[in-house]
Amino acid sequence: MVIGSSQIFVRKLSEKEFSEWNRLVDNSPHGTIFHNTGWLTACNQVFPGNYEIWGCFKGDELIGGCPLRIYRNGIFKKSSSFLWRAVTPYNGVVIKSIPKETKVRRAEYTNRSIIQSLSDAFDKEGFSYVKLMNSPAFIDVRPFVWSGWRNEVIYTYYLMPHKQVQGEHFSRDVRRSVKKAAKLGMTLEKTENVNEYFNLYQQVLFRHHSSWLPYRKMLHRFLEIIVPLLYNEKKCEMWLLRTPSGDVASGEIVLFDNKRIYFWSAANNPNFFDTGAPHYLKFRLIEEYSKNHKEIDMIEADTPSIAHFKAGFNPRIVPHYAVEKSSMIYRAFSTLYNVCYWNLYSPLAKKRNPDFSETKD
Amino acid sequence: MGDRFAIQELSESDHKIWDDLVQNSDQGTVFHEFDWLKLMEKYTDSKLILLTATYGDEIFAGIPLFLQESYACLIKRILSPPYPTMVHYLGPIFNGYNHWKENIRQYRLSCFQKKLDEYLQRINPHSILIVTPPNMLDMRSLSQAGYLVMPKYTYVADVSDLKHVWKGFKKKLRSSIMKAEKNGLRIEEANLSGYNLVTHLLSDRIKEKGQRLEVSSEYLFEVYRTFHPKNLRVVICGYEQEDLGGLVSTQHKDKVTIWLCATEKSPKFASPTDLLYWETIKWTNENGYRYCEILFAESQVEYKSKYNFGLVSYFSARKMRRGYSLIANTYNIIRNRH
Repeated sequence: MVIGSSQIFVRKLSEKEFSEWNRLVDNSPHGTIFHNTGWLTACNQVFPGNYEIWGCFKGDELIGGCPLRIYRNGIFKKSSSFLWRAVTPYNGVVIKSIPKETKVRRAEYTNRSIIQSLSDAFDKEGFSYVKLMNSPAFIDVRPFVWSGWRNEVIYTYYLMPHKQVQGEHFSRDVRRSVKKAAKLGMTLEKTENVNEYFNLYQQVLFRHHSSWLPYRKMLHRFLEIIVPLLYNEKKCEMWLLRTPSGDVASGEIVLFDNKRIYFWSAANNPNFFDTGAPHYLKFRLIEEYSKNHKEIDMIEADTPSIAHFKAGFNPRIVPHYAVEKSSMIYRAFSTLYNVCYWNLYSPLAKKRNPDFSETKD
Repeated sequence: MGDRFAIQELSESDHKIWDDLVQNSDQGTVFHEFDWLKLMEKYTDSKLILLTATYGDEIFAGIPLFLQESYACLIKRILSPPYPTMVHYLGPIFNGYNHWKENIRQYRLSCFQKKLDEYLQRINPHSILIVTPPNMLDMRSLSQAGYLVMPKYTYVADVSDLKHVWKGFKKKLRSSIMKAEKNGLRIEEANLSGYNLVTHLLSDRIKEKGQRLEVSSEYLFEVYRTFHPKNLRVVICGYEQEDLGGLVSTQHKDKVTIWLCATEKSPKFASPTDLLYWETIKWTNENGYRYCEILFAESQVEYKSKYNFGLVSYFSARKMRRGYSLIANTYNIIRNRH
């Protein structure tokens, strides 16, 4: 692909080039902590598949790229993130920051050239299926559509805590819960104890994500690696909310990059739902971070029950776009598999075991 | 769901209620005006269904739907907007949408969607296509109701600071506009004859691409008759004694939308289209409108991006019955091949 007077080359980055990639991620509006090589390396150590970064070069300059998790599923070579939003909410394309005074036409042309180059490179590599979860700053997915990709709209919530921390912006339910929990004497503490948080998180897995249970050891291991790593870089904080008797009622892991903070992972003890602990923890964290941060990404606003809980804090809904491309053989196989799964296997399994969960990842 | 939510059909005599909702809604456009909807109904062989959603006594939402029945009523489709009407988006409108707290907005949108689904189940259409207007980002209720939601794009700019807009243009575009002015191309307000010139030229341009303008000339004429000059403006670009082309824009609330534009093959020394766009942007600013919109940013032709307007998303949501989707997809493949 030719852009301006130079060609765009796409190739996998070597470890030596990781610092250059991290600089690109920091400076690009599309870059998030989940694009950082520290994050990707931790994923590589724990989860199945190989994590690679595909960079786009104009001459010697790295102007864009995309991290991929590459794995085999039978005869198919695939790329998508692992348990996507629970682990890596955004893993899409990052494009070099364009100066504000740059014209829309030029920016669109650059985006288009980079995306086409990446798409061509994926085709050449022979992927049967690729799914990219672009970050919210990446709004123009037209070049993907023009290159034959399908797209999907998903949502997250952004909070502007400096504007929204005043109580009257929150819903009546939130205010009531916060008062209740405060009255009960709940206390907030910062912790580095991953195990205590994971014990709480396991309860969430049992309640809501039974299909993820086989991966719980991997998730635990991932937390053991990523939390201390980011903690040392001052990019992560872990919080627990305790009842006066010392039980952990709620927990949250907060991540930081140079643009915003992320309420990445939350877990609550169902025995303390009635105390207002989940709302109180979020409220206290918003209060805490409103002093020095302008934007909080609350991550995930599509699951109705989660979205309902978060909506009480009156955040701003922000769409972002997932794009996917698959080969014809993969599509045919996938359709056949789905027909068999839903029409043959699922009813049979349900008959044998009434508790059979129809969710499949 | 609260029993206080209800959805009801508006009769034609209630069109004042509908137009008030359009006026007060953040999503309401000129295409949502009752008179425009009636024209769409008349020229697309469809039945207009105007639905409003109420919470208690308050009307908080509305949606115009068009029921098209074809093949002896065997196939039923619900469309908003219907085609061919040259209207890119329509869909639901909400009263006070931007002022609701998020939890209230989420609740109202999901209640509205549930009531709409219940209503549509009674019609049991084979396919539903709703293209929402800009200023509505939250499509979760539609996704959760089984619609396939896809983003679409339009270009919008705040033109209050004209100097800033001019500076944002591509250098080549600025010199093309100046050249056009210098060489004596002139822009004039026009009436029906100018409007006809635009629609004829548009039809010719489409024919050149091997397609045909599917929208009826009677529909276009009636749009002019109903909305000119209050909501519709026509300008033509002339050179010496010849008319080179023209532009039709709509104006509604604080926004001017460039709706149709077509020109003859441009003279070598200047581009009438560039001048027409620039004069419309200037007119938008001088007449107290804040925003200017260039419709349809889906095309791979980069012409529209040289005006440096911001990219704004809106969404199309489609749902089809299982068997029908197979038939429709096969039909589309065959149609596209021929």
